[in-house]
Amino acid sequence: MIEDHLINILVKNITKTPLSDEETRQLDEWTNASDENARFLAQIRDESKLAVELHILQNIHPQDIWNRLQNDLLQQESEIKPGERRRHVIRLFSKYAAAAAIIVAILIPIYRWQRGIKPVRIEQHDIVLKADLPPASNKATLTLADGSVIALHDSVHGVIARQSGNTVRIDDNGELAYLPSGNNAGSFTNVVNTVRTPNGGKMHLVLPDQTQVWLNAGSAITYPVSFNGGQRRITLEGEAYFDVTADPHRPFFVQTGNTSIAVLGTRFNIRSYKDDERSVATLVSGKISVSANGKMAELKPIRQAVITREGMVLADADTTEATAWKDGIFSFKAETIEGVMREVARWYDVQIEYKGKVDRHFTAVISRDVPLSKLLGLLQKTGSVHFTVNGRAIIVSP
Amino acid sequence: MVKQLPYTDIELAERIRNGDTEAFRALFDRFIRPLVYFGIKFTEDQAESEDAASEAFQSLWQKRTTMKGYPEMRAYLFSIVHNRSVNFVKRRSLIKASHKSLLAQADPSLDPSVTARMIQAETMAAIYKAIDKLPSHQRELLHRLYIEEQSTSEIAKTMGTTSAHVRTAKARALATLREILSDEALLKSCIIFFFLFSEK
Repeated sequence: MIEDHLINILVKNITKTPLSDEETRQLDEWTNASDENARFLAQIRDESKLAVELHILQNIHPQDIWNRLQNDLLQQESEIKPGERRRHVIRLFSKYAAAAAIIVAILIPIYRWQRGIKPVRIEQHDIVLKADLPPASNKATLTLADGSVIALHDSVHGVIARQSGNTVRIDDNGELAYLPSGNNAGSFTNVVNTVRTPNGGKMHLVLPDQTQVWLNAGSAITYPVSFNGGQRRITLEGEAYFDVTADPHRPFFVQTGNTSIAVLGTRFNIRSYKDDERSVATLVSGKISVSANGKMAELKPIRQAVITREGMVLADADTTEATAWKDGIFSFKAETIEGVMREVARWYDVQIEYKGKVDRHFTAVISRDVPLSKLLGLLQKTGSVHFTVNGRAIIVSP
Repeated sequence: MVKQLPYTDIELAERIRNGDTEAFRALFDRFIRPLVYFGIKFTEDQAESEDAASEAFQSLWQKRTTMKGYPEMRAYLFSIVHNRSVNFVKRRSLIKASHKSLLAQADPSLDPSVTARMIQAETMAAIYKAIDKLPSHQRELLHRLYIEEQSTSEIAKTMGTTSAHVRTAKARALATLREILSDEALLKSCIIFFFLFSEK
């Protein structure tokens, strides 16, 4: 069947050493031994056919299959009878338990979504607020290198500062832009600015290299004022969507928490709030590589990396869900009430309190451009949750 | 070219029998691609084949203490995927009333065509893995030649060089590839078709 000397014959053939008659005979014998052998030989000899096979292999992603395998094994573990064997097995996979738990958390919502849970349809709302709270607006603060803080909001326009050879302007639509002015004399690469959005704020800014950044509420981004050095380094807290200008000579890096992302001309979303249990980096187009907790992964569109304290897991992404906020939409997919209310708290700048446990998972697509009463009304219409509002405090009960 | 194999076949099997998860992961890494590829050649369904391969590993893990050695583990993995693939195709052909159906063998390990397919799958995966181990510029070149199917002249244009230069670079990349493949332990247990690498 398989013989070592046949391999030697083949190796000789590579080096273009002529085969002896005996060797040619053995090769022919093997080839003729079955249709399979002959067909396979022909297939590999044909470069274009080989390319097809290599394509197939390329589309196989071992790490993803491994993650699912871990998850399945973990679920089976809970069915194993108690005793030493069970302890042994649990200990073995316990370092993967966190990753598996995350996968389960991702898979269960997706599974439910695919079962066709429709978004809640709402016609009217029951919540009447004395002073209704508006949704987030273009509001941020800009902290310059010298420490001075400039408030940014809709009524501020035009040039607001000059530093390091750049002019800082706000456009009429609230976009903050850094424009190189004149002769680009600045070489102050260690001059940094910070744009911070409070709860209830959001901002769209354009960095000195024309990279666009959309900041969600409760977020902050720190960046060098002029990108003259070899790298473009940004720090992020909270959530932002990036559309990075391609520049192979100046790689773009985003640091958030314990995660570091290397970017190459690309659109992606990073979500990393301190009060969330996990961070998610979602790639829309281009390529990024994500490092966290000693692990590194390169993402392809449309994939995401989910980072927790324990590690990093890759998954397919629903980019419309991950970037819905940027288009002014709340997109919840089988989200817990706590998850929903964290988003509400950031967007409307309110505090949340819980009285009792709400079990239901929420799936909804709602405009972000609505006052708080309307949003809460929509959620309350499901019958699974009730809200009481006192000023800026919301009490959530089942 | 120095290649270090962390485990010999015997070591690997022994460790897995004793419940070593790192060894299990190493076995997974060795066989996952051949197994999924093997399944795809039967079912033409990647999701099904990935599930089948995953099931094979899970099942092996649960039965690890009963496995006698490496060859048995390898055969077991392929037989699980094979059985599942055959059933999948049968069910699908019943639903689709198509004429494509495979006859299930009572003992797939005795079926010569299945064995041949196992070898093919391992061979193909070995080639793929070996390409991955090349230095990046050589890997890039072979990637463009074989996977993106660019012509020599197309590549020469994008690299700003001549076709002759690309051909020389290709020869060197293939030489490295041959070295890698000859180091692979896999070579000793399956046939690698080097005709691929003969220049036209």
